[in-house]
Amino acid sequence: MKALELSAIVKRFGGLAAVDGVSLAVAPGEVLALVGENGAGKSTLISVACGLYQADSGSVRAFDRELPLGDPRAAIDAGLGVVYQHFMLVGPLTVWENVVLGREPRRFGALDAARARREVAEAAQRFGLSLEVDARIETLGVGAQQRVEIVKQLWRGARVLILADPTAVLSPREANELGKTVRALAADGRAVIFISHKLREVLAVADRIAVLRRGKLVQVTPRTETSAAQLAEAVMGRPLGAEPDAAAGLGVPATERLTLGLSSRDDHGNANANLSLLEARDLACLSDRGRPGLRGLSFDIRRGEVLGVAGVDGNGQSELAEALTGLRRATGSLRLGGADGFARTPASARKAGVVHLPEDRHRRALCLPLSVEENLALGRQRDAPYARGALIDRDGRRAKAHELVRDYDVRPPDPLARAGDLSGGNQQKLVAARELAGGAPPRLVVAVQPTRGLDLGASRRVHDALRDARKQGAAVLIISLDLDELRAVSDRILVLFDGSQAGIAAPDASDEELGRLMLGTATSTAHA
Amino acid sequence: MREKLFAPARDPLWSALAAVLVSLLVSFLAIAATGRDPLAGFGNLAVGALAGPGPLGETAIKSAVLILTGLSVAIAFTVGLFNIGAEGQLIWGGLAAAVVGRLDSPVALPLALAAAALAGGGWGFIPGILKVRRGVHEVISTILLNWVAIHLVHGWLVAGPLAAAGGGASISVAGTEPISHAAWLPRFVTGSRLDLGFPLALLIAAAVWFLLTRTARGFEWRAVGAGAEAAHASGIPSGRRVCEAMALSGALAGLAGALLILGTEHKYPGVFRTGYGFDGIAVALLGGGTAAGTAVAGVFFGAIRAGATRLQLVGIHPSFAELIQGIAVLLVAAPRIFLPLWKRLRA
Amino acid sequence: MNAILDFAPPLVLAALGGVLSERAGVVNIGLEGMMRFGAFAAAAGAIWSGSPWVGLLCGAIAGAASAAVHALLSLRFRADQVVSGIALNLVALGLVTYLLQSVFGSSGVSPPAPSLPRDRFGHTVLAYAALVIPVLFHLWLSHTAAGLRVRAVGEHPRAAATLGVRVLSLRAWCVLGSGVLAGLGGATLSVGILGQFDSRMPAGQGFMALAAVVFGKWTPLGAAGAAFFFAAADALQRQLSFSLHAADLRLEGVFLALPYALTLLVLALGIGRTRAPAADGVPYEPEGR
Repeated sequence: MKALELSAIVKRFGGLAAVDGVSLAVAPGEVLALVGENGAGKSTLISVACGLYQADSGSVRAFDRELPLGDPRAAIDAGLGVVYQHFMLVGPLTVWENVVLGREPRRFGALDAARARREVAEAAQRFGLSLEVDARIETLGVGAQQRVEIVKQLWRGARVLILADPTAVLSPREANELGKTVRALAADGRAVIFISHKLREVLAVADRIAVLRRGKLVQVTPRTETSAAQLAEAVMGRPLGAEPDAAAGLGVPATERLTLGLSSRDDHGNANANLSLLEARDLACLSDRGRPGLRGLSFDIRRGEVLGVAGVDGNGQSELAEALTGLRRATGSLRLGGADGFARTPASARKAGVVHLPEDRHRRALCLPLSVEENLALGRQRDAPYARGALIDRDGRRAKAHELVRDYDVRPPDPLARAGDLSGGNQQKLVAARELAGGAPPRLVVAVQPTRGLDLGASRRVHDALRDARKQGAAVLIISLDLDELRAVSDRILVLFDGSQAGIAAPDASDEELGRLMLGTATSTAHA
Repeated sequence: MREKLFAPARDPLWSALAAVLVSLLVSFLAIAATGRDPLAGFGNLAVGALAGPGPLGETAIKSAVLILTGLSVAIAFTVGLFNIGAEGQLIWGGLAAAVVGRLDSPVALPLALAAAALAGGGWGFIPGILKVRRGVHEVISTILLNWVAIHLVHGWLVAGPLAAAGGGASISVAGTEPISHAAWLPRFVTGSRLDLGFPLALLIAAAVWFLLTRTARGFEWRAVGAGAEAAHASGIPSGRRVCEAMALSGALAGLAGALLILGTEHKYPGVFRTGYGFDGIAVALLGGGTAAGTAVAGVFFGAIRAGATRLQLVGIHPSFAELIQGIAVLLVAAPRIFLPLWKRLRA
Repeated sequence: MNAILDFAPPLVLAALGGVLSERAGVVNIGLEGMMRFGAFAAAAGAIWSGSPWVGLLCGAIAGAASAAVHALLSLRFRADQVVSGIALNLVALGLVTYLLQSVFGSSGVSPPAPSLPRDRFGHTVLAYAALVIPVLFHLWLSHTAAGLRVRAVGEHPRAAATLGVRVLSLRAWCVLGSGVLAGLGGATLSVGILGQFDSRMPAGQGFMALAAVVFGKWTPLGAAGAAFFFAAADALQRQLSFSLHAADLRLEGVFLALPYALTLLVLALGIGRTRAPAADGVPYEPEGR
């Protein structure tokens, strides 16, 4: 008997079929991996399976019982449990409150808090997951929150556990731990579906691997009958040679890429060893919660160099980006081209030639209700060609918008389209166009998670734009949680741990070395 | 925020039109339900608003005030704030005009207008700075400030220190001293109270349109309202822009008060319940937050107000007009109500 | 001190209504309108039936009915919640004035309505209710399953939805509940305190209730405490005004303005910037991406 069986699922959004006739099954005690690019339909498929979305056609069966579509309660009752990529946890509530929400144990009409606490602690212990049941979620780190999500499903008796891109935000060691937990769950008789785009991990943990591409199921193979390279080709639908970045992005190991004759970085002898453009010394600042965000961080970036910043989420990355772009006050010294004080306000940073591709583009980079043309003028609304004196230069603005939209392949190529209507990838291309090509060439580019959630084409365009900026002599700082992205684009990688520099590594450093730096358990001999 | 507010109605114009028609329809039915004659009622409304220079003049002077308070609210919307305080700003503006208007000099009129704008602007600036510096929600602060204005001006200043001499009675019905003739808003049509206020209001509406759509600063205001964090990250000093906009918003409401004093009342009366400030909210919402829309909506509501007094001839209390406005606003608030209708019309 | 217990209940009840709605994630600017409907319906109901208790019931129902409109617009039609609340206030303003005229033929006050009985301390039952209900509300919110779900829905509705909680219907119940409370608050004004309906009711108390919610950090006990504080300020103002013969000095306006100015001052001094529930005011889209 299959634990979960999806038959001919079709789900459309607008005119687009996100999932197009996919049939998939998983048995109890089996680990099935679901891989594919961003936008291939993995999350949509899962949302349909667990009742969050209602499929347009097809059926979902759990343990041979057909589930009503679009009913999360029924899916939960049937034993399905999903751990989402963006955690579904209520910040101000405690761990136990989050775990029992929706199925609260009661006594005389009120919450039986004692029983809830006890049961949650027991469930966690059974699988070796360490948890503090009375802690408020908002005080926990990402790894702990993920454990809460897993316990949440297990406490409800989930017999099919679905993990959506669980290792995206974990350090290599935490990812390892999770892999062990997954195998333990399978050994306990539960079925596990594991979504990822990291082929190496998937090959280490899964029994079978299913590949989705553009909403369709391309292949399902047992682990022993495939390899990272073969999977990568199935995911992309093209031979690897054409897509070196993608291969890196999918986690095809560097050694494999080299054997295939791929070089993912072009020549960048531009980096002039003597010319440090950005100098940071002893940067320190607080984070939003009042705790230290940066503690004495020092580093340099040279002209025409890309410095990647790696680290487990929450070790100072956001604070660093904000300090460089004038959004956060930091003590210590920051010099761009020898001049300090450039990062006092966003306006002064911009004037000094700093541009910012922020992590949260919806909130920080775009005014969604405004048009494409207006968003392209944002930050330069008083400069030519967007304005003439105090008045808007409508023709100049329109012409510039056409130019940028064309160069960066923003779709639809309509300056009057509403920015909020564009897809994520096009929005990011819009931001990149504005920041990198909207005015004078930048001197410092601060890019945070620039390709998160983007499909292959958009990612490539953004990376190309960053490389162009580097060619023009800018210093580029790229902060990312995706080690493979950093490896593909950076000249050097700085690892952040606890708000300061844990070390500098070369892009071909191993996962183990980077992992040790990210967890602060090693010191690198290289220095800034 | 203005764009976010009105975005669900892809076409705010049709949405507003639909809201108006439906509210008129509902009122029609409501009147019939209470046993009165709806046709006669609406007929009287139209006569009171449009029949002849007298009624047209009434419509014009009321529209002028509503256009200004509507613009006041619309400008606040532009930077993402709800200015519910137009009433209080109008009151201070009117009082300033009444006081400065006592000057017997050729510059009395422009000076009075300037004083009104300043007074209203100051009262509008307060909630702006409270929001920017202390995060006080402007809906609450502007409403509280309304009550402060009402009590201080009506309950103290006009009743006490600024009361006209020779009052004597415990409640001064007379109000303040009358303004000098030099400060009167000139009228230019016999048989009508139409004054300079209406053309002035239209001119100001045009200026506001230009400011918001053609200047860099207007663009910055719109950016702050559409995406405050993005605007801030792009270098726009959003706090300063918000305070500027709120000050202008208050100034426009203050001018509205000046129009009432300098054009119609010619002093600050002892009993002065206007409600023009609150109606400004309705005007701005119906007008879709744009200058042109506000002007049109202002004329619409002005006409209703002018004709409302005649409703009594058919046994309907004039407050019914407020009801029509309220329903129209309710419908405009939820344009998606009309979504199924659109789909069927387009299909 | 007795004066405070007399004047506090309308504010306390309305503030609790605000807390209920906002904790569930629905901004409720329409408290003023709901109180107005409640006050009028209570007076009308009491006059018609001869019993103040029937009046109270009518007030609660009227509050719930107007809240239902807000719920419909905000939840079903995803209207902007602030605009919906403001629109409700506008309608309440016009409609009640109109009804006062057409039903009672007056533009000032209604005829006297039967009032709630007072005990030997001079208090109505609502005065004691204003002390007890906040505590009950607090216990409900923090110690029942329903209360837990309300808190979850106001912070992260999607998380609750994935666990099977019906977000929209829970929010709707909370908005209706806030209407009942606000309506009762308004009813207290006409049938509990004044003995008739005055055309100015509730004279801004709905907004003071909102300020109490913010001041009280969106908690039942905090909001009730803040409401008591504002009522005390109001009572103090009346006392001062009377004893200083403000009416004769034409200074009444200054004293009347004091409670509002004080409320504003309190808000301006910054109450530690505790934020509203995270999903407050954000329309919930069931299939949002």
